[in-house]
Amino acid sequence: MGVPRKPVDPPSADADAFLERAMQQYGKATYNFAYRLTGNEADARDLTQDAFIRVYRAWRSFVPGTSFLSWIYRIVTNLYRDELRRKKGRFQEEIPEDNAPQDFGGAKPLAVDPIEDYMAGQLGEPMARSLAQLSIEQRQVIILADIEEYSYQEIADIMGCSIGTVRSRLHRARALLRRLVTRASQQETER
Amino acid sequence: MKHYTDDDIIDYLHHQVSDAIDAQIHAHLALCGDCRDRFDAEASLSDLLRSSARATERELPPMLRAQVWAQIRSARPSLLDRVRAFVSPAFAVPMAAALALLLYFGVPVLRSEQASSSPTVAAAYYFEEHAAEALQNPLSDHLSTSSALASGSDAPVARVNAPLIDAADAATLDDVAASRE
Repeated sequence: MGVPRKPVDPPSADADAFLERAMQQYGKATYNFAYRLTGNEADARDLTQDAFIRVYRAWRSFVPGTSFLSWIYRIVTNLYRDELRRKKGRFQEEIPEDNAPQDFGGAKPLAVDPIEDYMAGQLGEPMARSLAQLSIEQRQVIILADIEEYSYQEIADIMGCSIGTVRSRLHRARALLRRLVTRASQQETER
Repeated sequence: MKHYTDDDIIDYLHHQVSDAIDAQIHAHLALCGDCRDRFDAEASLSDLLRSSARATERELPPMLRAQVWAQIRSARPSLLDRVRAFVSPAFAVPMAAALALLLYFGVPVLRSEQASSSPTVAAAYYFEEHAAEALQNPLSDHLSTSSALASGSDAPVARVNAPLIDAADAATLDDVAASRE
């Protein structure tokens, strides 16, 4: 994530007002979406920050009357995917296939702050841990369908794929998540 | 009795089936315990996801907005950056090409305009000048002008050069010639 590589356009009062309003109204929702996607606060902060900088740069491309949240969720999704690809290049880390669960050996993939990661590991509930084991696409489709309650069409627009892909991803992700939650709950009771 | 698949039930749960299918599944669930159990399992998974999301909901970090603004301000191009952008190859090459075209096509046109308009002015000017000079000094080396004026010819000098001078200039020169006589 970090500093944007491209210089921002010359200052515009309209762009400033647009960004300020967007952060006021949708900052929390965007941050929570990023948090659920990344699974940790440090990455969610960077992702949210970069997403709003992208909003500032591209504010003219937002179509009034359409959903701002859908737009910024798409930005967050794309940024996160780019970031993972970049990290994959750096750490030679494989991005799992769509239907394969991510195996990070119990550790979260992008955690930056070890104390925060430790606390999350101690306090994390079975659902959060299970979600973290899904692939990005699976996690994303579940967040959008079940937590954000978007329609398949809206999810397809955000993820840049077809409705059929959304449907099949959701079905596979839910089947996998159910198994993971059951296993995590069993481990909780065994402790 | 037709049973519904898990996929059908998930689509029904997310309100992503047509009204007709929705009504059929709704009616079926009231009668079929097996499908009802599977629907409840899917619904409880969704409930668990939502309650987990609510439990882990975060407030926007207070410094985040300020950090966004700080990054935007630091990334804004300085005056030097703008000058550099102005002379960057992407801008400078088309500008140089446009300038070259302007010079190539524009300058000869200007020159030709000057060339086409200048003889009339120059002839009138020089003729008048010569005439005035000849009046003052008939023996100057402007022989053609001075000799014509000195001979008192009926054909005024201006008429000889009529195509090169306008009517006003010609009248002036006629007056000069008449006063000489």
